[in-house]
Amino acid sequence: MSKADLTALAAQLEEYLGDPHDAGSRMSFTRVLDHDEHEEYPYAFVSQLRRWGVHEYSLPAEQGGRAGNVETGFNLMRLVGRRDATTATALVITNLSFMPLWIAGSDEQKRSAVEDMKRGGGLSWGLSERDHGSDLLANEMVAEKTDGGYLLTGEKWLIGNATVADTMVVFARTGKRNGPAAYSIFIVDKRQIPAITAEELPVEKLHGLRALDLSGLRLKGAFVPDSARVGAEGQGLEIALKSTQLARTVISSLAMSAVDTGLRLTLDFTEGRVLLGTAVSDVPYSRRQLTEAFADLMVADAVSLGAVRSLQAAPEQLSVWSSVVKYLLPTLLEKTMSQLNMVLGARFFLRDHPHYGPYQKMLRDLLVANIADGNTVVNLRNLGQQLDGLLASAGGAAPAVREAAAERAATLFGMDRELPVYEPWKQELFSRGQDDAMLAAPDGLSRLRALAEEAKGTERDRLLRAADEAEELLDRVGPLTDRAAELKAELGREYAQSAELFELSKEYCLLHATAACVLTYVHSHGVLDDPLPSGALLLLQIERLRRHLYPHESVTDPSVIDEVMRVLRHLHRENRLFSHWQFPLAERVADLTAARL
Amino acid sequence: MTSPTRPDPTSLWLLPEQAVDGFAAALGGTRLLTADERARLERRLTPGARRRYLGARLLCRYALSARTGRPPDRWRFRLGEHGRPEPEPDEEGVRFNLSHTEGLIACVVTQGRGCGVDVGPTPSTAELVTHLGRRLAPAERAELAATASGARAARASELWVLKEAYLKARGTGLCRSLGGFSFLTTAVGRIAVHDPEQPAGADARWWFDLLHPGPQHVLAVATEDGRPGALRRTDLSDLSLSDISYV
Ligand SMILES: Cc1cc2nc3c(=O)[nH]c(=O)nc-3n(C[C@H](O)[C@H](O)[C@H](O)COP(=O)(O)OP(=O)(O)OC[C@H]3O[C@@H](n4cnc5c(N)ncnc54)[C@H](O)[C@@H]3O)c2cc1C
Repeated sequence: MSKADLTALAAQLEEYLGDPHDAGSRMSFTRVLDHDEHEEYPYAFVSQLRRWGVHEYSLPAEQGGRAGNVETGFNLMRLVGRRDATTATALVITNLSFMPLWIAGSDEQKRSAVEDMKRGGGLSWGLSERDHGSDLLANEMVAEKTDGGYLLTGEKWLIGNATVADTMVVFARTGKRNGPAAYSIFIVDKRQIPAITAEELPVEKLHGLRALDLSGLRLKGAFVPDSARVGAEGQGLEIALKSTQLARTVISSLAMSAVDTGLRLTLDFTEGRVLLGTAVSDVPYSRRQLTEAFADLMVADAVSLGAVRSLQAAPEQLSVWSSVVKYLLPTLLEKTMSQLNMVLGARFFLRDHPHYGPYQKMLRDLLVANIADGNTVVNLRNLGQQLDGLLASAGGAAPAVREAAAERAATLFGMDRELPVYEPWKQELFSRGQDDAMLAAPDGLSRLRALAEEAKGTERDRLLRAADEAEELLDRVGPLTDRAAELKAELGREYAQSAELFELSKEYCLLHATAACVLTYVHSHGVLDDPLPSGALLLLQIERLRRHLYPHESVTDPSVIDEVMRVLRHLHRENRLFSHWQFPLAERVADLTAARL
Repeated sequence: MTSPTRPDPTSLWLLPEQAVDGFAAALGGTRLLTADERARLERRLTPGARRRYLGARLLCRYALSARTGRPPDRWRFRLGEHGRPEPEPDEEGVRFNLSHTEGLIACVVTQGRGCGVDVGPTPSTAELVTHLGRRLAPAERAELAATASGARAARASELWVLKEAYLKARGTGLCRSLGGFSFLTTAVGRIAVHDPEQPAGADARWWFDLLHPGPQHVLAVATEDGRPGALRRTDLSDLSLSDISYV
């Protein structure tokens, strides 16, 4: 889908949902907060969105869905999420639960599931168990072979939609001996099994996403036919991990949407509020805080642009992209949001403020992105296991390898580039040292310098400075490799489990993000709408990443901040999503009197 | 991945005086200073002077380390012919220069090229304008006289820091008369020096940047073989105030 088409589709959804500050709109903040306060599952929102067909953009066209690019569904979900992360989660869970089928299911399994979903049926994904958390190989639910099918026994806990959805896709043990080949996946249609063999667990009370159905399912000898098995016996772990890769890649949309709304609400406040004769937005300290939050969001936007597109453009590298995005974005954006708290001030703490009430909900909801679908620790560990290979190729890949990566990077980060068809079975669990963002970074830098040479005056200076700073960060691959080698020599077999390795992986994520910002700029600058692209914004993005390594250094002066503020104000006033996409949002019809209370 | 063709930038580091305590705490207080420097620190009379001296000594080590990768505790300094401090040993050919005034400390670093920095308050006090007015070169005096009275004090500050930065870069310090050379701004906005003591063509090798890092400060950087856009400014803030990184 071209950028223009995606923008038009996004605009349609926005128009359908309306201004969330308007109590009469289809998904108003008033009703969203009401659901949250009363912990009531948002059936009405979910059905409205299904009617519109949001979920179909994440279901395969071959079996009746409308998915072309994952990016389409991902971005539509951002628009839902900026109103209510709970509704977005409820919808996303259904789509993610479908992934095992998409990856390994038969045509018949896919077709009937898609049909069911189009009729309003929901799905849940039963992977986790109470006693085993991330340790999938310790999972205890068993599937015993019997005539014509399997008998399932065990408990799945902390499962989204477990109660409201009729069907759960479960991960259960089929092998006698424990090990990676001991697990398989089954479709459990609760309507088809003897009532006495299944029981839902109580819905948990939550910190954020309070209206979500997070519960579980206990099965006792529940019979499912052979036709309910997804893929071959023993393939379960691989299918589950590949499904998780997609989940990890898309879940950060929740965090981005939360910060989008957080920043928008904060701007409603700072633009209107006058202190000592100046709008709060124009107090230098506040202006810096606002623009920094915006730059963080644009870093997240660039990283996720590449990660979501990698599902199609570099599926064999997905284990890297999905873990970088899953660790970095929630961690980064949690900090961004707490920075915004201090700009908005006391109102961020009020649960029923007529204008700022949604803020505190976003603040709570955002936290889910860090835990669900493989927590931060699991993702850093996944990167740690691959780090030696990744660093070796980032530092010393052959020119031909870099060239090929640079070519793919143009697709990964070019918003208007055609993507190959999504074929999830092509995803790999290890990337063999390949990470196109890092491999293409030198090419990105020389393109950036070439663009700078074409620019004039301060824009030129800012782009050159951004290139210099980005290069300096990327040059840390060398020292990072040395530290990894020293650590390995020192710790021997302890290396793989060491706390230090986690720290090295975190730093690697920052370098990947730096490359992502540069590559987004050079491969998408031509299709961005005014007031983007912006050299000042790019420089501030790099500064924000640099801050993690040099916390007390800044490379932007007040004129850079002023320029980023101009861009941010433009997006706020023109009512665009804070993103490289800049989707036009529903017209703001509610008057802003409440924003001044 | 460093590109060999990229010319060496001029790094300018700025440390606000109010950030010195936090900055020093993060670098271990006076731990990095030599015994001699510590003794000099003790001899400063006011807390402000001590803070600026400590900030400057730490800032130059920090900036030199950032450029070379040599750890901050490995720097020693010797005095040049006219008392200009130079790093020792200077394997990397790195040069630096420091300046401070109330509220701000600045350090400039280059490699293999002369550099000088001067920071001062702006606008100048009436006394300084008068004092300077008498010591400038004739062309500068004429320029200052022609400047609107409201802008004169600010222009005087600019000329002052330019002159100082140039002399410091040359390593001759203030032992030269300020009227012996002059500054002018060319039609394309470039700041140029005219120094009759220099061999023909030498003036053109000097590049000047003039900055206003805050409403009360003006700062000039002079670099040999400089070029437009080569100045890379980094502002340091109080470590204790910034949110400490999670990395
Ligand atoms: C809102 C929400 C929705 C969810 N939806 C679903 C769903 O639909 N389906 C589903 O199956 N599950 C779901 N879950 C469950 C969730 O995905 C799992 O609980 C989670 O991935 C497992 O991590 P854990 O933190 O619970 O437990 P653990 O894996 O036990 O981790 C606990 C802590 O131990 C440490 N740790 C764990 N592993 C390591 C390691 N290898 N090295 C070092 N330290 C480690 C970390 O500090 C970690 O935080 C959901 C959870 C939430 C909160």
